[in-house]
Amino acid sequence: MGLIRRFGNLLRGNAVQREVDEELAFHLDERTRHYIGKGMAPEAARKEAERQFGSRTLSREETRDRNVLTGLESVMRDLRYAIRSVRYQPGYSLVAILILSLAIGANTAVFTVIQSVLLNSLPYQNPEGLVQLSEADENTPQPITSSYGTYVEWRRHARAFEAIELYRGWTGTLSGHGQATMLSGSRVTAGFFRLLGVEPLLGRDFEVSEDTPDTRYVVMLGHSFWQRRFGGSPNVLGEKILIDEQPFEIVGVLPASFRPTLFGGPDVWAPLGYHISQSHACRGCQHLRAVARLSGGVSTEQARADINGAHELIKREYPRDYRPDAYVRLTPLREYLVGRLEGALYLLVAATGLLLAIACANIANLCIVRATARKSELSLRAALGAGRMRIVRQLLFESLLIAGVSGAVGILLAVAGVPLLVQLAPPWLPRLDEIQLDGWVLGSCLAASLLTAVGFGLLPALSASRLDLRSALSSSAPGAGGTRGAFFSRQFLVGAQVALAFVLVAGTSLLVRSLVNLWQVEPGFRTENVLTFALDLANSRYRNDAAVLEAGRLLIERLEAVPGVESAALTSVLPLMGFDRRGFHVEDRPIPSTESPSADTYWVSPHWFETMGIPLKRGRLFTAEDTPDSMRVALIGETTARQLWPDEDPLGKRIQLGGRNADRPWYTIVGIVGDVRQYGLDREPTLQAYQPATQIPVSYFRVALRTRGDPDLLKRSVQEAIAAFDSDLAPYGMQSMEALLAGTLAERRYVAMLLTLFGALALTLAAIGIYGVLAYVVTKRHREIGVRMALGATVRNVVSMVLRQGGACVAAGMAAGLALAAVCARFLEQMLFGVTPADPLALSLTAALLGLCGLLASLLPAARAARLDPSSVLRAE
Amino acid sequence: MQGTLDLLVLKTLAARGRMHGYGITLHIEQISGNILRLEEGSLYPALHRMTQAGWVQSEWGLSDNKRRARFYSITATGREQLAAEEQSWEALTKAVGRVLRFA
Repeated sequence: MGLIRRFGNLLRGNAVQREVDEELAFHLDERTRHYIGKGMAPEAARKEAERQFGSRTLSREETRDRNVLTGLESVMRDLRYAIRSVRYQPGYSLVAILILSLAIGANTAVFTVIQSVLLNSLPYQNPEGLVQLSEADENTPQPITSSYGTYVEWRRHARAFEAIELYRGWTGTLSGHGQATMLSGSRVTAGFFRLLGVEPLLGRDFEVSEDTPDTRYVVMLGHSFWQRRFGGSPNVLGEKILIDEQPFEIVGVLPASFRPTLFGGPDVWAPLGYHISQSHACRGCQHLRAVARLSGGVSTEQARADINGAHELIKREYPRDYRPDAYVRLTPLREYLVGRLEGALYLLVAATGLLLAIACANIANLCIVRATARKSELSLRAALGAGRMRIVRQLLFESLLIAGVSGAVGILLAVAGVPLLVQLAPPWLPRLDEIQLDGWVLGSCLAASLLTAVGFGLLPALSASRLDLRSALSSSAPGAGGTRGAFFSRQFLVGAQVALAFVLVAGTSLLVRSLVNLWQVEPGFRTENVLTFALDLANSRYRNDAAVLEAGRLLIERLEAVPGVESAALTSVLPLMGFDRRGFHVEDRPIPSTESPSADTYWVSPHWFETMGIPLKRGRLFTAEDTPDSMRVALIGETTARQLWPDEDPLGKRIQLGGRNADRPWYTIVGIVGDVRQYGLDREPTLQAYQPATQIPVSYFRVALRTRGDPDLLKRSVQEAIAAFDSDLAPYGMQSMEALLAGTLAERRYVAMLLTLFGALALTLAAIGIYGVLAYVVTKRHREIGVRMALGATVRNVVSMVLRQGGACVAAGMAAGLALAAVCARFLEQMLFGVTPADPLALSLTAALLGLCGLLASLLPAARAARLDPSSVLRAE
Repeated sequence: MQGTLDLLVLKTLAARGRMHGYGITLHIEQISGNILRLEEGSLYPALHRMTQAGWVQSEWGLSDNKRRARFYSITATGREQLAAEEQSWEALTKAVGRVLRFA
């Protein structure tokens, strides 16, 4: 009860004191009256009353103190003092706040992105047990796929897995309900969703009986598709929809939480419905992807050994279907998802760590400066009776205050920064839509930074309280300012900052150089002014080969008639998007199927090479005269010609693609064309072969248009032309080739951008640190400088003295940084292209930048030193 | 002794009812025949302390000559405290007496 009242009194400000004073005044007045009544003169009476009362000051203070919580009160007083103190040093405070909030904001933002993408659990049940299986061999640059036949055998022989399921992409045109749209979906084996632990929101999962060629016409709808197309109506179950003119019954709807970043979709899901008897279900027909769940207690290593053991058995049983060096690649799902990105993201984590370290060093420096500067003030307080704990507490409050404000600003920066980072990120960054500011990340970044601020703020506080009163109070303190120890640690801190900044900037330069190198690589095809999209001739109108061929020809004609389109062509595979690898068999070289090389195969219409700017090297291109009735022809790439026919002329030789087969026609090579970088600018071109679209009808293909001017401007006219050609066709994924190319570089560009940001911040911080040290040196040694100048030192001498001081710091820091960078560069290797980690150009650029930064930072203090008037300095003594 | 001061103040209030600080001082001076003179500087801290402890309660009022003053009165808890203090005092004086009578 009394406690509450005493607490309440704290908030009443001076009211308590006034009341006490009034009470005591009354007492004194009465006493005085008493003495006056006894006959004393008023002043004498007053004096006597006061004398009798005793120490009034003590009494009023003690009385008042009884009424408040003195402990709390002194805390509040310290807080107010801290606020005042911070306000009176705006320079220092602002700088400290700036540094800290930048560090907190930047780190939080980047870490949030990294955490969502890399660290967060995948949205499946027990994601740690999920792995990707793919058939691999020496010839396959990116083992991703498997075949149905192999899958069946795996299930027979492998022991380490609870389940193995298959999935593949599936596109089709939804018709019958107004505007035809192209759907993007997947076909999966019956146990797929159970494997992932995904339960349907509505309806049911697929049944095993539905996973056959005849009974597979059921679908599950993806959640967003269900919302868009059916308005989220629960009555969709049992309804039928037409996909590629085939009715499918809707049996279920998937939950919103199932975001199939890995597994295709997202619109519709249907059973795979394969049977081993089908031709595309053969053991060599690799176009499916396999995901599996490890049995309980089985490690990745054990599973890998198990599945490969099974694969050996399978190879022995069917030697003609597998290359002798074939094996199974088992990749944990997380790794498969994040893949190459992992290196980049960990790099960013390292960068954030570095930045934080630099910021901490900077703050520490600032704190030491302040402590030394305030030594006299603090000694005075100690002399006046402030206990050591009091001083420490007060400095603590100041640090906390600054830390608190920085934290608030840092949070704001992070909140603004995360959406910005997301927007700038490459669109295929996994789980991009899941990135949002995470409380945990923010909390830990805040905690780390604040801990630093407080910790370093306390350090000088603790040392300051052990003051030698006399030396601190005397104005003729030793010139170097503060203890030798303090000065040295400051130099060390600056050197450390420079070293860390060096590492960051060096990393950035290396990446930027890689990017520049990449941009200069010849892709082998035209990237400007090309518009592409996919099309699926799915209607019954295109049921036979002749119709498909005719449609292709007609479509090209119509598209070339669109104003702004210079030429149009069809292809089965677009450069940079996917691949179609088949065995490459030469007629007079009877190598068994399993050992022949694989080539990227394309079937293209005649204008393809002209549209894509792929040069003809020898022979001829496809023409309209290459029909199903004329001789079967093919084209090969330069590298293919060089590697497979090093001493002969390939023209006139005959090849087969995708399985040596005596009954199928051989294709005669009639020309050699330039290579195309199918897999990205940083991969060497592979073996490539082309077949004419006029001889082979395929109803799902990609279209490329060479445009006059910006391809994006023609999107509408092209869409209209297609609709005029056949209103049931819907083009899909329309984008310019440039956008596609930029997409492949997006990851590197993003990381480079972030690193550049960090590098710039690091440089700024290092500059601040260097400036701080030098400014301080100049201030503390200005007497010495004054004396020197009076004794004949020129301005140049003085300036060079200052610069030398700064230069020493920076040089030491750079040396350390170089060594550090050499160690760290190894981690960067994955992302580099055309540069080694020890690239001299990048490193010299870094050194130059840091040197410049140091120079700039030194200019101001040097200028101040130069402007020192020796007479005024000496007079002030 | 602080304990003594508390005792005297509490007894005064118990006997005389509602008083201000100056009044308490006067009463003790008069009754003790001017032998006991309170350390006035310690009176008010003590009064406020006892208020916080709940032994006395205070309120502002008007003195005889119409000036604002703080008046104190003893509470029930205060009376209990007074009884306890009186007992201690008895015990103390008896003990001192015994030592002094020992020849």
